[in-house]
Amino acid sequence: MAMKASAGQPFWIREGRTDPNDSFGFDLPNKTAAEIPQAKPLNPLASNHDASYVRPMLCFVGLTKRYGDVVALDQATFEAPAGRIVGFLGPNGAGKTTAMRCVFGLAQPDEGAVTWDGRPVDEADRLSFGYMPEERGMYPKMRLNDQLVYFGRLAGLSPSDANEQAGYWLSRLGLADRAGSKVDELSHGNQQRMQLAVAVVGHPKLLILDEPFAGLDPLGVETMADLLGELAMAGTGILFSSHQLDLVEDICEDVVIINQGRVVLAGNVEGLRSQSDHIRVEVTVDGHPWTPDSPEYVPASRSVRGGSFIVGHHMTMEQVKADAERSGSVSQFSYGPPHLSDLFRSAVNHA
Amino acid sequence: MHNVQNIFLVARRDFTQRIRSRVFLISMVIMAMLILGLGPLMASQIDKASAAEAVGVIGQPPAAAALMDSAGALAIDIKIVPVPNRSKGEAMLADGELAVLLDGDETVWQRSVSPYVNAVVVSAVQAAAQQEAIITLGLTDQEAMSLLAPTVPENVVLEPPEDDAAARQGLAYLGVVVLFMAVVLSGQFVLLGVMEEKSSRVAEVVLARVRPMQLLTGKVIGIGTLGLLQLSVLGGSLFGLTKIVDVGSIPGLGIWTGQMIGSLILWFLLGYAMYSVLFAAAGSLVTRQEDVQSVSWIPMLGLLPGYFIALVASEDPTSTLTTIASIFPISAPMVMPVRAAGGNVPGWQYALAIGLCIVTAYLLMRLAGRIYRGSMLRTSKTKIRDAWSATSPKRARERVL
Repeated sequence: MAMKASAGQPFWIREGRTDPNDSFGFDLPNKTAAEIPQAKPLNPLASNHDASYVRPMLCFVGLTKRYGDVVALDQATFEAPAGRIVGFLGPNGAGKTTAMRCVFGLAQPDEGAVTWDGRPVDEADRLSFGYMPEERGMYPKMRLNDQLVYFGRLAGLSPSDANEQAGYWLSRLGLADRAGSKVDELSHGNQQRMQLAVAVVGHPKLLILDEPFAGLDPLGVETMADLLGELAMAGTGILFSSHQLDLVEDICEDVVIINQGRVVLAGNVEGLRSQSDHIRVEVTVDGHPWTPDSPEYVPASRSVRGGSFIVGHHMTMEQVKADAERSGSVSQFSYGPPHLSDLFRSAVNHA
Repeated sequence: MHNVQNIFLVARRDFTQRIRSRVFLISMVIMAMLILGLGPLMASQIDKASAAEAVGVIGQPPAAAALMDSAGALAIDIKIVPVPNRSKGEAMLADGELAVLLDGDETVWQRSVSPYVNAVVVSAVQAAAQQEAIITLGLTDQEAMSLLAPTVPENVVLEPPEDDAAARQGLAYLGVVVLFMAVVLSGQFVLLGVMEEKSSRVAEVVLARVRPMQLLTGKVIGIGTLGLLQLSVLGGSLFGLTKIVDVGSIPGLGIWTGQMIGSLILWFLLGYAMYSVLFAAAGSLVTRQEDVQSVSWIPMLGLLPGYFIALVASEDPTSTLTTIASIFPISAPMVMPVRAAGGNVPGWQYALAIGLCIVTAYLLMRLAGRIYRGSMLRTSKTKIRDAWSATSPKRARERVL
């Protein structure tokens, strides 16, 4: 359902990805940019996967925001349906944070609007939204329980509900024994959990998370991912930004990629990958990553050790194998749809 | 309705978080103790000031007996201290235990001759000599009386001071200082509280649910309530002081009545309403303690001139300057209660001063609110001009992406 970690993996081999903090495509040297085939441009609002789209709830419609000469958002249009996890991707400065701030009225769009259920988002709607800003923020000297009760009350909960929920989220996130501690006495990881608790207290219908995985250790990532999956199952809409593309590929059903304020790619992750007119191949020749000399082979994203390439659909796998065999004996050969990071790189570099 | 609830929630958080802190409670207790301790201290100061001058006497010179009489006639308070010998007497002079040492025909002074004490001693010595002469001459009692008790002229004072003018002036001065301190201290709390919200970035989380003006208003109300509590403790201690010590012995203390304290609280509220929003605007511009100095001038720009005008005005509560300063909103919160303590403020002037303060508070809130809105969501130190223009998108040049 919400999680699709193991779906559609068997027929190609994924490289080991160990560092979730790796940064991707956008800071690769540009020399190959022109050679990478562009992913099929999609109208972000055209549902290329009708069956799986549930009620579209949060819509960004033609959102434009300028700061002086800097265009943070440029006619950005996309949606985050309830009950689904949407990954919001883009290079630093692409406008992700600005878009999220527009949801909460923290930034005022110059043009366009954010709508919820077909109507522009108003203050009452915002009370049912949870928000985790990129710059984490809590009262450093306030006890965890008091803090959660406070934010619960601000979200419109009654005093008794706020108390109950504060207790629930503290124990759900493993912070029950720290309920009386102050935020600045917590470890970094616990502060992150607490920040999530602040966002989810009040059981929001929609969660907007700006880089929720940044700085989490692998166990923290797992806890966070599990919780997001659980919330989505329960019907919460989730939009989160991230630079960890493998994580997004694992967790999200949908992605939206923006660059320089424009939506450059949006849709269902599986759909985007399978509909791509490119193939990712990984070849080992004589026990070493293969180094082809043809410009048809564009190094794949995050192919640090070499041997992974993106090729156009016009090439058959027999051709690729034949090319490889000319260099020596092929000891490993696998292929599959491009990774999200490949799609990301091509979308961003060609924007 | 939701507006009011949000403001209430914010105000309550700011109030309870601070009142729970140990530092706050300790400072309150210390303050109350200082005031209550002040009474006995003041009383002892008054004792010291009116302490009798000690006249050391060696042996039993004839003048000694006349000393008390002549002191009484001259309205100078003295006491006689028997001293065994000259060297002991000189030692006591050096220690300041004696004002003068009477040794036979000599009067010994440590540094200089005190004209008042000298007058007593001289008149006592002369009286003793006269006594001796009367006996030698064999005068009758009646003749002696007419010689020794000449007519004393009656004192007529043309411009007697008002009963407690000096006390009222001192009180006025104290009132100015107390109000200034109360507004600055609470204002400083507001400044630091706003800065904490900005620097900890919690502002972004809160402002996702609460409007900036609600957050600002709630904070100002929460901390203002705290300031009110502090002032009440201060006023209550002063009131308690009047019960502990003999009010008569400390001039002016009797005026610290409930009415005076009530007026202090009213003007604190008006002064705080005007200046607290400026402290908030200042706090919203900075994120670090080191930068606080660079923005404190914003509220001080109005507060300090008001304070100095008030100090000058307190010197003379009936002058024209005082009248103007007590109505002009910048200084009114510090001058009007001082003037009112002296009585005789026309009702319309009092009402006008209150009205002007409320209008000014509203205007300052609009002004400060705009700076606050424009700078709270920026992650670093913000220039006033940038914060001001942030709300007019045409000129905004934010770098927050």
